[in-house]
Amino acid sequence: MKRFGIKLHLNTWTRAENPPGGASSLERLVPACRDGDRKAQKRLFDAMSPKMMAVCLRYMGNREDAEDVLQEGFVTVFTKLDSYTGSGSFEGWARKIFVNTALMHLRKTDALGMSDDIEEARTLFAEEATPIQSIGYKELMKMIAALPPDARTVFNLYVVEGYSHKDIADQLGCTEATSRSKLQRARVRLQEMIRQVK
Amino acid sequence: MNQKDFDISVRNILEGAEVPVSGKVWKGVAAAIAPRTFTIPFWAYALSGVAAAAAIALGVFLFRPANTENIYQGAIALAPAEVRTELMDAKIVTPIRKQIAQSSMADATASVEEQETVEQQEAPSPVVASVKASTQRATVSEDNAAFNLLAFQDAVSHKPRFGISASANIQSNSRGSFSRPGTFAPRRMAPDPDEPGIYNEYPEVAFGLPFAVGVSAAYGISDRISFGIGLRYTRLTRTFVGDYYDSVDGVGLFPYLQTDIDNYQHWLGIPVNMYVDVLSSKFWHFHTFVGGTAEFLLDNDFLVHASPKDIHYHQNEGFTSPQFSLGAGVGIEFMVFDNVGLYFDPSLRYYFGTQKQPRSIRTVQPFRMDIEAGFRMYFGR
Repeated sequence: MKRFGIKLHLNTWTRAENPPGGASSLERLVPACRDGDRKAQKRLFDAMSPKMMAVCLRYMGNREDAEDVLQEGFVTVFTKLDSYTGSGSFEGWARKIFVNTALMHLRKTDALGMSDDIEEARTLFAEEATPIQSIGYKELMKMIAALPPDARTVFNLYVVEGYSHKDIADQLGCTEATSRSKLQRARVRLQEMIRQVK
Repeated sequence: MNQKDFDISVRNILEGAEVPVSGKVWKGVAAAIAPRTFTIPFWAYALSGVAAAAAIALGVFLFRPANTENIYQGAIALAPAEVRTELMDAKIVTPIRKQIAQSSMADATASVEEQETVEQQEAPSPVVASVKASTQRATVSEDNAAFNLLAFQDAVSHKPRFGISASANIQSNSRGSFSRPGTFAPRRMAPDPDEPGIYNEYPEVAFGLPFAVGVSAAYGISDRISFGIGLRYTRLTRTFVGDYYDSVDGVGLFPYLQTDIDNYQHWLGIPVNMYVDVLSSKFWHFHTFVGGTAEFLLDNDFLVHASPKDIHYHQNEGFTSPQFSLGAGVGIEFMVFDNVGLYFDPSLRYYFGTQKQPRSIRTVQPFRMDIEAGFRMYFGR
């Protein structure tokens, strides 16, 4: 059978996956959730949903779509708990599901128009990055949400999730050059927005 | 600040970000992961009840003994004491039965007239005449029915003892939703995260018309009762929207696409039935039957519609237990030649243990209406 898919670089999120008392308490809930314990499922949902909502919001750009993705992602998490072997962190495993669900929704709505615009990318690449240390995460998320869907998706996959351009090209069905171009466009636009705020 | 530092700064800011979630999300999740329960609809209970009642009533009517003496004895018991002896001496019933047994139905009508003549000659009292008249009418009517039954039994007694048949079979189908939001997991599909497969199914599904073809043989153990056994191939189809995932070793789940998926199930069944002839003539037979079928899954094939090429996906592991069903119905067979009959057998069928079987119309609605039609060739007249 033909194989599809790409490898994820999960080490990017090592710190986020293991907050004090976080991941380990989540993993303790897994067996009960697997057995259909509704209270345990609710606790797991309460513990994970704000963080996963942030993930979904970064990809979808609006709250309504993000909640749709969040709901569908949790259904997949609960129905596929048998697939979690316990070898890695539970949050990392679940996070992949939410990211993949978001990508699926974006694909379904044809939001990812991946045209090649390599020349523009070369031009943009020379620009200097703007310092953003003083920006809070809420402002930054609003800025990311304002990016075009294709550039936003590539930016999230590359910068936050740690995908390579080859992985992104495979996942989104575009060339690596297009992925680089979209990333650079997202960086430039974000920096423009940051400069305006400052 | 270079691009790499910019990326790291963004990542650090976003790390640990949390956004409040509205309560409706959990409600949707909880509804979607709640255990599903199926109930047999009311119409199914009502229909099965009516069918059972009709079958019992038909059986009682057709299989009761043709005892016209009972009617006559009943009339005697109800008659006044002074005419009871006269009635008992009248001997109305026996001559009529004798004639009916020896003559045609037309002759039976004539026998009624003959008896009326006999009655006039005997000139009984008015009370006796009234009782005799009513008794005689009932008796003639009943004896005509008895004659009919004798005629049918005569035809049945010439029924061939062994037959083989080729049949086609369709069942009712449906299109609809499982009436729950969100997705649900397929049964025993791709349990290994490194294994490609369908991980989500969405509620809207269209079931194709279940279709079967088969051959069977029946052997009669008496004039009325025969047993049949056969082989039947059944094809079940459905179309649904699902998430097909693929993966790379050691990485885990990856969504590939959400798309229309066709599911084709191929089953081989062994039906065993008992048939009871309840009415027969030279040209037709009316029968009831009851029986069970054990079916085995041959292939559970999925066609995932994808671009540029569709993906075929088989999921047969874990479905080793046979699917059992019980059915009962009535049927009619028309004899198109002396030894060849065309039959129609509508029935109601219930499928057991469907939770162990791949999802199909049977697992959603285990109580099914079934119509079988075919040709049967008889041997051994």
